[in-house]
Amino acid sequence: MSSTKIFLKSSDDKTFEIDETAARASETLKNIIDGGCLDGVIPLPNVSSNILPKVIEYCKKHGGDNGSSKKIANGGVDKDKEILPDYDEEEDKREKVRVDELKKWEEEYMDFDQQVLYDLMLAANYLHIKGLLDLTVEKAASMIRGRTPDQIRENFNINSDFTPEEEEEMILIEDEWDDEWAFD
Amino acid sequence: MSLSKLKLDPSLNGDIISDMPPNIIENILSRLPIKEAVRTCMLSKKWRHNWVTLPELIFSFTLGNALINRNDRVIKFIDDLSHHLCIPNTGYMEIYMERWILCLSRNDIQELILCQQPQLKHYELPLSLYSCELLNHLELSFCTLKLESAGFTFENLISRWPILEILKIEGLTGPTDLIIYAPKLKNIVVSGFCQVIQNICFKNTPLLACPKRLNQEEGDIARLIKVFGCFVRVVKLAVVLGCGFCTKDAPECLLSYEDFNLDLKICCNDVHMVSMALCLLKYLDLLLQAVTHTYIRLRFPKIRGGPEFSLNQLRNVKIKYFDGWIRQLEFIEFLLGITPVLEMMSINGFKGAVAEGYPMDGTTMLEVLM
Repeated sequence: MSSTKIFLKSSDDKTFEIDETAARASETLKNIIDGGCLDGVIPLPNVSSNILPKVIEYCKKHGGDNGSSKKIANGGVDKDKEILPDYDEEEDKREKVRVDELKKWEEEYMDFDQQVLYDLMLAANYLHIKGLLDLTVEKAASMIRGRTPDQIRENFNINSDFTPEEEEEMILIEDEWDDEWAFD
Repeated sequence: MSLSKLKLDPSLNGDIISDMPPNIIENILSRLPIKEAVRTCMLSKKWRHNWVTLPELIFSFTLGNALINRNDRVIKFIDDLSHHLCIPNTGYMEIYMERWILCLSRNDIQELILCQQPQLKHYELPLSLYSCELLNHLELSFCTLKLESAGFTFENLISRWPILEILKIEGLTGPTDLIIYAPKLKNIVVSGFCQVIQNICFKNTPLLACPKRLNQEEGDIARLIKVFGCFVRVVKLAVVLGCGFCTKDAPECLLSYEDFNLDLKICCNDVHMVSMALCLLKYLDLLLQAVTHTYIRLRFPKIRGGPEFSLNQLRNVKIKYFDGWIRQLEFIEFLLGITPVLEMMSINGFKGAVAEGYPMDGTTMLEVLM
């Protein structure tokens, strides 16, 4: 199925092209497309030209994939044939390869600096791309998980604006928590 | 994706994450174990209260001491909480609960679960609970009302919660009738009733289709029938009878539902219980247009005396856990004798060896029954 092209305009007035199927990975874009208000170019005042290609890259990879393990229809494959529910080993193997490949792709995709992480997070949030939001938010969470407040501050460049007295008191509370909280 | 992959950008001077939209912060925190999520309050002033937006919080029993020791902070936290709260009572927390509930009432709490322990003195519900107008899920156990004498009844307490959908009450004590006006109520569980409650009555509960469980542990059957009379569109009802007694006066109420399904569990090998069950069936029979299903479970003691009435509407009876004991057979015989329009009686055997010769196999069972 050849897809219509959609044009997206970044906050700094640069235009990018994306397939409609890929654009549908974004809930926001999907609504615009389905709403029939497509007027040539969709302006995205909250996404800069630095980050938009990265977002498009994600959408291209995940367009048409509804988050499940459904196969992405490749060009040339007869669609009807694909839907047939015969599970053979070959298929399983192909699926596994596809998942592995996707994981590897994600790993490479996520290799960027912190500024990009924030921009992507905001873009995914704004465009409602759930998969991308999950990916980026999980990355941020992994920078907090199992770390001391000092390490977290360092990771995110957070300045502690507590007075030394407040700080001391909090350390006391924390010790108490460690003694008494039996959550995990 | 490992942390080492994340390049720390030296040009990144500002603290960007702290200014992320609240939904992103909440999303990040929701991926952390709760203790770590709470600990983020130590990062900076901006982070101080981020974690309180977590939609759900459950205080586990083990938190008791830590909570009490830092009560001032808990108050601050509860002050910001607005969704769900589950407070177990470990006895010594009681003195703080009134203040907590006050905070919650200011915050339009939607879901509140107070799990008290039965052995403790019943917890007096604070008056602030009266102003929790957005409550839609409430569970109270072993509570009592404060200042009942001053006219604060459970009745006007429930009527303060117009959108209540789920209500679970266990072991509530109070000297007055429990009258429930709850237009949105969909589900109710009442158990461990105390005898001080005179009656339970449902008014204006049009959505209540399947009360989960009503345990009538003490008191007479007339009271229970009265309860039935209040249901508008109940289609399925489970009743657990306890020891009670049968009254001669049939209460005046009208039940007219099609496909009414009564799951009657009789769990005690006691003649009073059976007479109570029959009494109940009798009343229902008088009042119901159609009883399509009646489950009668467990063992039945010997029925004394001949049938004084018949169940003219009962068409379908299902007996579970039949093991062939003589009393059960007598009961079945008795039941057959008083149900002129019975269309189907299914009897399911009890699985597993009970005694020698029991359970019977299908053929023996049939022979005996014939």
